[in-house]
Amino acid sequence: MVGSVHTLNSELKNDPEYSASLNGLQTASEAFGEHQATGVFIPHFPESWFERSSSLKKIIWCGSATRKWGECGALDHCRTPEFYDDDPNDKDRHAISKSIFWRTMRSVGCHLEKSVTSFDPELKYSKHNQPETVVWSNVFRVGGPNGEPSRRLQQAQIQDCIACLKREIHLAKPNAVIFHTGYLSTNFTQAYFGAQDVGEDIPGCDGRVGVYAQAKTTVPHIWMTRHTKHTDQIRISDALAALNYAGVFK
Amino acid sequence: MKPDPNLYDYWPYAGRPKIVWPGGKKLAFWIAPNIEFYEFMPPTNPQRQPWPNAIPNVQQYSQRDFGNRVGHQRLMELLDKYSLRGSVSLNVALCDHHPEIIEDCVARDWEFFSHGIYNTRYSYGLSPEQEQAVLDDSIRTVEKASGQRIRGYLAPALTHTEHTLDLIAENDFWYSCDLFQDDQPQPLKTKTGKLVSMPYSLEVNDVITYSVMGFDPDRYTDMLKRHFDQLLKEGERSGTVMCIPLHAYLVSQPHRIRPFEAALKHIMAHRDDVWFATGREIAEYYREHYWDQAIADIAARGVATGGTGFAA
Repeated sequence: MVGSVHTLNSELKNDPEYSASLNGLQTASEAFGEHQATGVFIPHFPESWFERSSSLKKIIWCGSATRKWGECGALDHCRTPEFYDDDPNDKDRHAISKSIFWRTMRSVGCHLEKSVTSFDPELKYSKHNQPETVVWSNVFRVGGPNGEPSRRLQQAQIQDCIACLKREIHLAKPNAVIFHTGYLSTNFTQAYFGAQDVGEDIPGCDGRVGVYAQAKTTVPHIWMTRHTKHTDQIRISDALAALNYAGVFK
Repeated sequence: MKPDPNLYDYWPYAGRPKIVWPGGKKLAFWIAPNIEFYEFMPPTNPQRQPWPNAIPNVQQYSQRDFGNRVGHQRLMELLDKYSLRGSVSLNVALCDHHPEIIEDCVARDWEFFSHGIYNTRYSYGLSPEQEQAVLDDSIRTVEKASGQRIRGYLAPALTHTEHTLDLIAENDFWYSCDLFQDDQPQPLKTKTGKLVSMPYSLEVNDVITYSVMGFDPDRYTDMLKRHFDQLLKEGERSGTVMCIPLHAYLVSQPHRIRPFEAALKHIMAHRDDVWFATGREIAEYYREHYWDQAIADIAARGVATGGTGFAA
């Protein structure tokens, strides 16, 4: 079992399939060595996601790879407070406040959490100021020395990454999973994921909906296809239109 | 789907403006080693399966891997012997997976052109934005690994979309190897840029001769010689192009490499009439000296089929 997973929810921690995937990722990370691969990224799901009585809207917001993962070999580094506390003067770190991925995620989370006063979208993203309704996850879970994993590292981890993500969806039961994975989307990630494209674009945005074939309950999987150069507002309105199409607001 | 892709005009072979290659040569000759990476567990594509049998396919995977472990070294040594440079049809993921091969090619001043990211990831179903991302990745990755700005494109596993040629022209690529309609270069009708259709070949491609047709090495040698002789003869009238597309997992097998050398010896014996070049050099020369003539001739013959027309 991967060590130092103190932030992992018990539902995930006690799941044998999830543990097996994490162990596979840990093995891949160690095979590359501490100077060539980071520790394993583990998303944090709030406990409220697993409360059956909760009426919380739950969205998994899935990126491809994190540009800056912190130090290579620092297992679970992504879960430390330093990872979330954004320092605008530190240009070498990931830019939680500056990245369009995070800005869009924050705004959509705010829209879904109008009644939640503890989350302030104008504040910097931090471990104390996360939208509870939106959980960040990634396709790739182990980074390289410069952030994004090399293709060798991608090949070494992709099977376990997909297994991990599938298990997170199965256990956390989100209302939708929304992928911002660039060109990996329809042909690559989607194919690995075994999702079926329904073959139609979502009205009002550049996104497509797929159906996750393995899940007993139908969880909409939304692949955002908008080109990365588009603005925040277009991306936010696209995401909201896609979630609306997927029935999240009903 | 369009009824006709209208990628080029029908342009009869006879009577075209005469092409003369640098130094008065009659035939431009280039060799295109495909340096590819096939994934062991590739993602599925609804329109094409990467392996003929079930995944994982250990046998097919390891057969391709022979090229990257043994075959390229053997082929490089042979081409070195005749001072021939390759124009590498590159799955750009190779830059990550086997940088040693890239370094060997760079040391020999070989050219790289893009053959997509992996040979197990197809263009079918890609949106223009996704295909643009593949091109961006190709340009960036090869530039980082070799310092070269790629100018040629052969779609991964020869899989295309309706947007492929317009996109590569828009990205200042100079030539495409994806069309097989001619033995001379020809301007393609893209919305922007000056994209040349470069004679590549399926006929003398070792995949076709060995994997599809099942020919023996001596027959392949014979085919290459006859192909060369005919194009050289016609090159007296107007310069032709011959490409030998190769895959090291096939041509570099121990029992095939010497018969292939026999074909190279035959070609080298006619060196006075042959311009040994790379794909980029041929495309550059054609664009500079014959592009405008070709378009004018097509217009003068009244054979243009309309459509988007050539780039301004």
